Amino acid sequence: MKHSELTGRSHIVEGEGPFGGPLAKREPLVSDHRTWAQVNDDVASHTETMPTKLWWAAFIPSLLLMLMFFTSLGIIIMTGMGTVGISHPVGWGVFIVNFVFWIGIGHAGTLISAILFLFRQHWRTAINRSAEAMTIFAVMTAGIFPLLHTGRPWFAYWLFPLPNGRGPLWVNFTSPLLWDVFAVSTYGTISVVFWYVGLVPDLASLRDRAKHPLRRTIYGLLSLGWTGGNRSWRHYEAAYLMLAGLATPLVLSVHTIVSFDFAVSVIPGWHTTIFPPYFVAGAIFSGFAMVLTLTIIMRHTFNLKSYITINHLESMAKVVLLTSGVVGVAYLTEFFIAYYSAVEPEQFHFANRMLGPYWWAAMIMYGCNMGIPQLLWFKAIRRSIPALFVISLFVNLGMWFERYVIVTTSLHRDFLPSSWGMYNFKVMDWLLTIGSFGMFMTLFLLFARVLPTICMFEVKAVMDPAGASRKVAKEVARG
Amino acid sequence: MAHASHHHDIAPPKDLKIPKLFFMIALGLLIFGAVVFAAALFIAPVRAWQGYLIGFWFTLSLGLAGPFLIATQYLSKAGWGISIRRIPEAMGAYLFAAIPLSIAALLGAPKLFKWLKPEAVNDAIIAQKFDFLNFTGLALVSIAAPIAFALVHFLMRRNSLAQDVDGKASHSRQNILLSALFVIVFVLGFSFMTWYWIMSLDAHWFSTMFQVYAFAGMFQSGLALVAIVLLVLLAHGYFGGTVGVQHVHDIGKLVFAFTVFYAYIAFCQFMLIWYANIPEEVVWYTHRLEDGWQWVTLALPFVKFIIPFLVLLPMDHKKNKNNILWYICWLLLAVQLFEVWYWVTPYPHFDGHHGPSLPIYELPIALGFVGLFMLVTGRALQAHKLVPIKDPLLHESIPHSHSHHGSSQADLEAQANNVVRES
Repeated sequence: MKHSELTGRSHIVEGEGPFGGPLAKREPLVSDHRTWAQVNDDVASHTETMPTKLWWAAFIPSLLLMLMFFTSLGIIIMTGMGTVGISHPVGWGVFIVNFVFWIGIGHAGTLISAILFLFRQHWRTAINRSAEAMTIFAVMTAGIFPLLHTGRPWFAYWLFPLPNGRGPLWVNFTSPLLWDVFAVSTYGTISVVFWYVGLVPDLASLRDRAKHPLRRTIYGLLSLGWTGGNRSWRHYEAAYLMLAGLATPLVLSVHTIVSFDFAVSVIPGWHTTIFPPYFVAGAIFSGFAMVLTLTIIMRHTFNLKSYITINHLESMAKVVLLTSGVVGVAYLTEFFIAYYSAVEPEQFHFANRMLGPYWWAAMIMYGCNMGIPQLLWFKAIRRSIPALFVISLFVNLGMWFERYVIVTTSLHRDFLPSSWGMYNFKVMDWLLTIGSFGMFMTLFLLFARVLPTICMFEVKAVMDPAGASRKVAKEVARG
Repeated sequence: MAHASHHHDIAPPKDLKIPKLFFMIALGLLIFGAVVFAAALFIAPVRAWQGYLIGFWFTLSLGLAGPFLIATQYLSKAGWGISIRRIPEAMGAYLFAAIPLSIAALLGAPKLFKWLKPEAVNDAIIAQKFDFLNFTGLALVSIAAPIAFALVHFLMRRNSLAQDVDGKASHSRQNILLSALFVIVFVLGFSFMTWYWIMSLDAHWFSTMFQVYAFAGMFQSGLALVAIVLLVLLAHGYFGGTVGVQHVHDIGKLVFAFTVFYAYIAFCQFMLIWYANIPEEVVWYTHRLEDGWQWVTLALPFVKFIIPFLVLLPMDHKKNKNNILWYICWLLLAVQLFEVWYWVTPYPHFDGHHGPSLPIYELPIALGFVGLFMLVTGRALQAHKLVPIKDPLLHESIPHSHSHHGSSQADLEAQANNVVRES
């Protein structure tokens, strides 16, 4: 454990403050006295060597799961929707649960890259690249589900308001499902552009390091003729700030509109005004949990412990704790208002959620989202990597079940008892759900092989110049 | 980051001496408000208590915004805001005054709430809510919440002031813990206070978003007040070299951000209720879309969002170029009072009239609360050092006049002159 030198506390120097008080020096963001030159070597070398056994061990199962995912998609397209468990009255099942889950996962990337950028949170530099990649892959995974749920995905272009020969047949502009089409496609586009723009200077570094001409050509094309000159940087900085500004409202808007899918209805458990901010907080919550899960693995397998330090993990743990609190307040508010409303269907719904046939799903949801993250109040747990890893898995599980509870328990008890029913996962539901993780992981592992997983130039900018220049390092070594 | 060596030439903050006139005006407002309230108790008791609630809620919100802002700063280990922290600290001093005011408000509760009337038992919906909507519960929350707010704020303030003297970093660490405590106390206390004092004015109506909505307006106006006080103090050079235009810009950005946040919350609440169109939910808005209230409802998005949003969009405006931030913040303070009035008064249950009436009682009474707020926070602000000079992170808050922000000093003086002309 190299992180023993980091304590998570500022170093206090007595009497050095501006007016004779103490002066707090923050701990460095990059540990182990890395130099600027080493940053390139540490990060880029993973794209330049053959994959390790560990990588293959992760990649092959992921790829198999992805193939399973595609097979199940094929079955649904060829045979039809009846192959999954959804039926009357639960018409929204595995597709919507997984859609909302993956869209939620996609929120941490933009939050880290846009909002934390505007908040000048420099610790974001070590994790923004991988979190943004996660965002893109999660949105790609998410997008498949509603497409399949339309029943005829080959008519997907009907979702766009195109002039058409089908008579006066237009999309339903008053439907939040259509707003979703716009929101998610905008989000996907901006995320890709933002991610790619941020990659350009690092792609140029890879180009300049490349030994094979083919490799140099590919990275050369991708880096858009980046020179690293003053003009390039000026334009880059302006573009990045603008994109951060554009991406910021999207962090809120996408999951807000996803929440509208439910909240504009008149279904108890769905129609509640707190849904928009509650969904956004939940998305950030699950997104950060996934970033925690993946970066803990990544820093081990790619030996990036000097960059993604224990302090970074602790900061992420704090965001998880905060958003867990927000989500928890929303949960409790729902229960309180259900009582306070004196509306019988509302009260029935929340009683049924806790005591009905899906009580176990509600227990997983509340336990994992509201209960287990409370452990993060303790600094020792925030700084214990195994504990963080386990907690992040629980949060991922809990947030998947949150969507399961919202979708299923609201629908399985209709207003008329004659329309009551149950929703059971069939084999295909399982294949789709598990398979989607395969797709996400495959894409992420490929990303980690061919692109720098850490934003090298931004990390260099937050390093202490006194320690990071090679000249100084040599002098230190010489004594 | 070896800042320390550069700091010997930093001009220290001056001792604040607020002119007597300020306190005279504050006292005048307080007396005026008290007299109008006393008179209104005989002429129009419901309106008197509505005025009381408006003034109380408006000032309580401002008082809470201060420590809430400080708590977010401590919890995120932010360094930039240290040198202006005494402004929100002073705002929090009002929370002590809020304790007796909250208890006194209980006297007016029977006038304000339908659910406290004896005939409420005949209302089938209200009758189901008596487990929550009862005087004991109201009294418990109205006493416990302000005491809890004030207590945690007191402990944080005590640490902050002690640090001025002994310069111990441990005070900062304690305040991080207290900040977490404050956030918990705030979320609980503010939610229950909002449900009892504002949402239950229409005892049939409910919205899960309502406490978030009340919070959004509270924090937007609270940040506006921080900006106003900051600009005045800056203009008079009280901060010495410890505060720069960057602080104005940062607070300006927060005002801007929470203007958007307010609009987001207010719009979502309205849109979802409008879209679903469930009778028991739309009442809150239908009351406010008839009998003249529709003009108020229509005005709110403009004054609380569209105007401040568009005007604050350019960077220079957030830095108070041409005093724009200053004017917008006054607007935001005024419209917060306006909105609380809009929450409280459209209830026709008692005196029979429906449309909005000129707030001839409500406004003076609310201004009485503002007077008290000015007295308390003004005294708190000048009682101690204007800048927490021994905070370990202070060096991150101090502007670097000789670094790449070359123009900041000139900007600062230009702005200072502008505000002086105003005040």
